[in-house]
Amino acid sequence: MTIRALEKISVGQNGVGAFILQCRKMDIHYCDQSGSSRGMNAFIKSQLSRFASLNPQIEFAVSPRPRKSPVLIGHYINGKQKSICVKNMDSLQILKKAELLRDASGEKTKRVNKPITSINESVRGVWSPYHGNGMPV
Amino acid sequence: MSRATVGPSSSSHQPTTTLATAPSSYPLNLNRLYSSQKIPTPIQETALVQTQEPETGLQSKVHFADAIEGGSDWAEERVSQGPYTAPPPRIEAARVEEVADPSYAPASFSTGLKTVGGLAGWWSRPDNWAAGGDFVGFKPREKVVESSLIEAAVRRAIIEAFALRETGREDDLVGVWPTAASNVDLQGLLAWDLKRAEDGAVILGGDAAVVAEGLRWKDDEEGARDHPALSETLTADEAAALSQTWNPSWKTISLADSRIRFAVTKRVFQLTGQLVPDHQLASITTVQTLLHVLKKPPKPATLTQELQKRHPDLLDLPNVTVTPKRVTRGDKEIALGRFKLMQEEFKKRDIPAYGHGYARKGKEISRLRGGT
Repeated sequence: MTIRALEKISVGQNGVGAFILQCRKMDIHYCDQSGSSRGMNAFIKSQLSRFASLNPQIEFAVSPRPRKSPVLIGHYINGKQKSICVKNMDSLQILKKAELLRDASGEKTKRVNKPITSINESVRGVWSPYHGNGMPV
Repeated sequence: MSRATVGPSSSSHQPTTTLATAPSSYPLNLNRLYSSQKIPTPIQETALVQTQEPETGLQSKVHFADAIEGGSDWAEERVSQGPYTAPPPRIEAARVEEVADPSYAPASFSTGLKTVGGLAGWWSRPDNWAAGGDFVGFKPREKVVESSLIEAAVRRAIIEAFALRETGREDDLVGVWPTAASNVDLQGLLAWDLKRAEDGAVILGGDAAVVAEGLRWKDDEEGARDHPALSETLTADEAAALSQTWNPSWKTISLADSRIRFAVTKRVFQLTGQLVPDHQLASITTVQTLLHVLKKPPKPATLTQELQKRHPDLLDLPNVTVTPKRVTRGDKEIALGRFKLMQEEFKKRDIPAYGHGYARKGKEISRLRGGT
């Protein structure tokens, strides 16, 4: 009897059964002096504590980066990271960007030009030239 | 060549002097600096610098001075004026005609002559000047931030300004007032029953003439130059205890008169270092508004300090870490536990664990400042 692999009966999908947030860490960099960081400093003071308590799965690391633009860097469990420069933004705009990073999957952004995407195999199968009646030329 | 002429001016023969003369308006110890005739040319000076170290130069100068003057010590002649020590006055060798020894012939070239040093680098030596200097500013060196002391300074300024007005010395309102006051005097002054009458007049509750007399500035006063800080004269606790006894109506005293307002803000700046910004001056109409402007707590220097002071809830969250300084590459390696391994590998290869070992940091900066 030949050895047969276990047949795949389902594909894992995040959110079916359990949902694991893909963003695991967020670096928050600011500058004490520069004006481009004013919104970021306000975000840290006014918005961050609420945002962090609503997202306890994410580790937030706040650290200064003197003489540099303020930056949000999201780290994802697939090993990738995504960074957004938030210079001259106000605190609510920065909150939007933080939500964007939180909700991102960490995958590279891909162009989607098909109306439907599915993880299920096609019921018609893949067309083969060696099967069926053939095509007289 | 039994004796040689001395020092940088050996080539140029001047009339015989034992001390270089300079314009009489300069102090004696500064003669050397202002003399236009006796300053060695830059080439001679650099030649001297090359041949000697600063300390050894001074020593050889002393030896030569012994030889010429018969035991007078140059080092003792250095006169200190405040934090600055001027170089010793210059002594020149005797001219040929003046020397009694008939076998004496002056040197015609400098080879083999002893050099006695120049003044290059004199002001670079730290023991010749104090970094603090002798500048005494109007503003005190230390800014007073305790609110009780600021309040005491404002009360003192109000009493003094209105005392001058009461005695009719309007012109002195814009002058400089001495700051020296003993603890007892100050406590007595602050305990005056200062209040505002119904019609807006100010009742000082003490002898205005005595206070006004104490506000005369005397130039020769040594104490006025080196006055003690307000916090040394009066402690914050004493000021706070005194403020409990004050009639609350003193805070409603009007500062609408611009001369009084200027006198008070100027005096408060002199006593505490707290300067009222120009754009806020117009809005100061009473003592209460002045105190409101002055008693604002200082802004935190960094965001981390502010978070610690005003937003401790953020620091309490378990998923938030706040670092006061920049997180470097090395910090990340340490957090991962990789730094120890790296150090071991560095040790095996004889590489310094930190920095670059042989290369200095900021070499260009030290060059720009005149170093090597």
